Amino acid sequence: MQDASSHGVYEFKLYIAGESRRSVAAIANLRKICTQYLPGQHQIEIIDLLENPGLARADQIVAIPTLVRKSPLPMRKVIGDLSDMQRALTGLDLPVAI
Amino acid sequence: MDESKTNDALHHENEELKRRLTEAEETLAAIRQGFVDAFVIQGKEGDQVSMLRGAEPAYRLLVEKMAEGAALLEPDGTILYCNRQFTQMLGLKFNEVIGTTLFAYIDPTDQFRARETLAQTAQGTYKTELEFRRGDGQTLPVYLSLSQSTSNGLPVISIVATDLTEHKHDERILSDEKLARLILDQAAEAIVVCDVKGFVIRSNQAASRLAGRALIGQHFDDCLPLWHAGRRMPAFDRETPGDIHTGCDALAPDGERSLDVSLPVCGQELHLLMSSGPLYTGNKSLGWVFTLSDITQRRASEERIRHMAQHDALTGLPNRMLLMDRLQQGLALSGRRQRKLAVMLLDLDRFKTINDSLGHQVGDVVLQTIAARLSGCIRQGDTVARLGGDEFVVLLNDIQGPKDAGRTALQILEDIAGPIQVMDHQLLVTPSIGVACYPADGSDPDVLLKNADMAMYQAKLSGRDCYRFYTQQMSESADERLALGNALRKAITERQFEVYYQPQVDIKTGRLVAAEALLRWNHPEWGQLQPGRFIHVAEETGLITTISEWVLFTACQQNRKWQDSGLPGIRIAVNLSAAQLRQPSLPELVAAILAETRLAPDYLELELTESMVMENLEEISVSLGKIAASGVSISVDDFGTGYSSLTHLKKFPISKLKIDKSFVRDIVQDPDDAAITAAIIALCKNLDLKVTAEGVETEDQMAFLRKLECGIAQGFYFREPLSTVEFEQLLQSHAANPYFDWMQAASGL
Repeated sequence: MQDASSHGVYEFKLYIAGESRRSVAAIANLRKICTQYLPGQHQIEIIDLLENPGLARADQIVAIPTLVRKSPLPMRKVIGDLSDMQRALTGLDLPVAI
Repeated sequence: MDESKTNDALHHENEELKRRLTEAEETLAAIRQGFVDAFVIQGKEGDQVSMLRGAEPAYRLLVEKMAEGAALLEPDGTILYCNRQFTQMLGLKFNEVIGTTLFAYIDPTDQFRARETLAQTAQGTYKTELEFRRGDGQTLPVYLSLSQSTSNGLPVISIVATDLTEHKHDERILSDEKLARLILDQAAEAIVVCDVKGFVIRSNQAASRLAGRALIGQHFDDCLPLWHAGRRMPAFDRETPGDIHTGCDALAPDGERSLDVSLPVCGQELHLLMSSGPLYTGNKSLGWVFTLSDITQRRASEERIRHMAQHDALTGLPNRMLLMDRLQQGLALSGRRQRKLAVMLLDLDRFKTINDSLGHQVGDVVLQTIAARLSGCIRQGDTVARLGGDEFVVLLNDIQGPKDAGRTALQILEDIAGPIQVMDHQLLVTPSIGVACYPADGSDPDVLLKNADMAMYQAKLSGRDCYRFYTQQMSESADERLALGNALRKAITERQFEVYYQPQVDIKTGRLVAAEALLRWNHPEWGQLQPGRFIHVAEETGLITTISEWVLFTACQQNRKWQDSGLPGIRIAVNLSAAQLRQPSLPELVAAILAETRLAPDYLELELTESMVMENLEEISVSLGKIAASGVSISVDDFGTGYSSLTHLKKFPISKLKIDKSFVRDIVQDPDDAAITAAIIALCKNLDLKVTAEGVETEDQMAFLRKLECGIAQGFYFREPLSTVEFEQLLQSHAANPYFDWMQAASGL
């Protein structure tokens, strides 16, 4: 885990539902994206809505899995399991040459 | 000001709406592509997660039942999936393991061997013994069996890890048949195995539930009558028995392995996702396997999301998108049937105050209550929509004429007027309503809404809590503002502006001590206009900065000319605009103008109004400080009309207050105005500020002000604002006669 207060850290919240197929895929894909494009400058929080359904409201989550980029602002959302890498990178607006 | 604020708010709302729409679109796309498998459903008892049935693949059950640890890796070692046993071996949670690399859990001494093993597995199957390094730092000896396969066309490596510290797994092994049966029956999907002719040879419990009976020995199409694209669609072609391809190609005409189908069950329609695949033993075809997942819930979710995209979350009313849709439809229908239709735009009066003072939660309850009351006012077939903020639209279809709309508007005013109880607050909320009718006021949704908006604006101007019909005149006054803006632009280039000067007189001595520079616009057709007629348009268009700069320069230049021609120096006061005051470069501008016109700073006074200093206190105070330090004096105009306190004003380098003419006007008759004026004069003395009374017209007023020891007076009693030539004459005669008598001089003119 990186220091959240340090500059340039990407903070992600991944909303999942237990170990559903798409949830598992989303976790794996997010870790892959972070390792590849944001090494040492990311922080991932995984929120299992099966355990805490009430937490969905904070980021207005409708479909699961949904990834929320909390920082840097503005907030961004990518819906789905991130298996389409191109779409995920665009959706997260990551500063990488694709 | 207000208009630009609402524009900002509208812009913001539009952005917000766009963002929500985009999100809803993306959600829909993700569902269609199968990238999501669960939904959050907002219910009365809080939020709940609803899993799509079929989200759990059958192999998961198999893998979870295994006594061994199992994992699926990418060739580089990234763990894509693993079972519970595997995470237990590592002493970690499932979520912590997914997406990490296997090498993170391998003892340093075994790292090299593990990498070699993984590389070799690419060529087939490989077995090895090594040690896992667990999350708690302990090591665990394991026997790894690795094999290469593909998933979604990509190479993957599957691992089975046997815990060598335990040898109890033997007893957990189930017979092949028992396990197969178990997996089949545990699966959420209906699984049906048929022979080449379509007769069921094996099926699971989910399939029996779907069909409502046991399937063994029966024909697939008799048990599960499937529909596709609104037509009955048999899975097998019975005309050519044995020709399995014909039937199943029809199932998947575009070569897709899965197909959306529906199945009537007990009068309801279930949506199923069906996939099919051939069963072979060697080259011999045995039949077909069908998997049917119930995606009825997914369909319902799609429907719910479509609903979300078209409705306002807070009130449940149709949103702008759906309103525009219905309005379009309504117009098309009315056009064909030659009927009338009304669009009412409704805006809650001072709703912002509720939100600002009592919080958004209270505001939200108010909006919900209003939404419910509005819905109660309309007939079936009419629409109430929320555009966002506190703006609602009522669409009345098929009306006889404007009278009907007026009646409904009155009903709405009446029904909304009742108090709303929110927590401890009892709130009274009133709306302002603008009405535009088809076909009289427009035949296009945007035009009708725009005209209703204009009428609503008029209702606000008429004191709120009322309704107004759109009239042609409203558009005209909007057009007039536009014309005025264009004319102003022309006025600048064609030098139609002129500065007038109104004298300010020392009450005690009767001497002319200063003058206020006032702007006049000599329009070739409209004649001479005072600022009240055009200044708001100048502010809206931003031309105010150019115009006020011109006035400042002209007044300074003229003053210097008079001094150069030997006339006595007086101070000339110039009004600053709010826009100028906001410019950080104002001190430099003033200094530059003084330098260019060679006017000494103590002959210049800048006037601002109370309301102008209320905003951006800090910045303005710095700016004014610089100006005052340069020797220019600063005064506050229209004092008494705003809400600023004197202590507040003392933060600024102000040397003079001007009592607003509304107090001076009735100073003799109205004891309140007299008291206020007296108090302002007294306070100014205490604070060492000069004081000028504006709008002095009569001898009685002068006598009164003299009694109160007011310093300076300005008004028609002495002179109206004078042109440059007239004021120059005044200056000359005043300079020539130390006992200048204002009244005599005036009657002599």
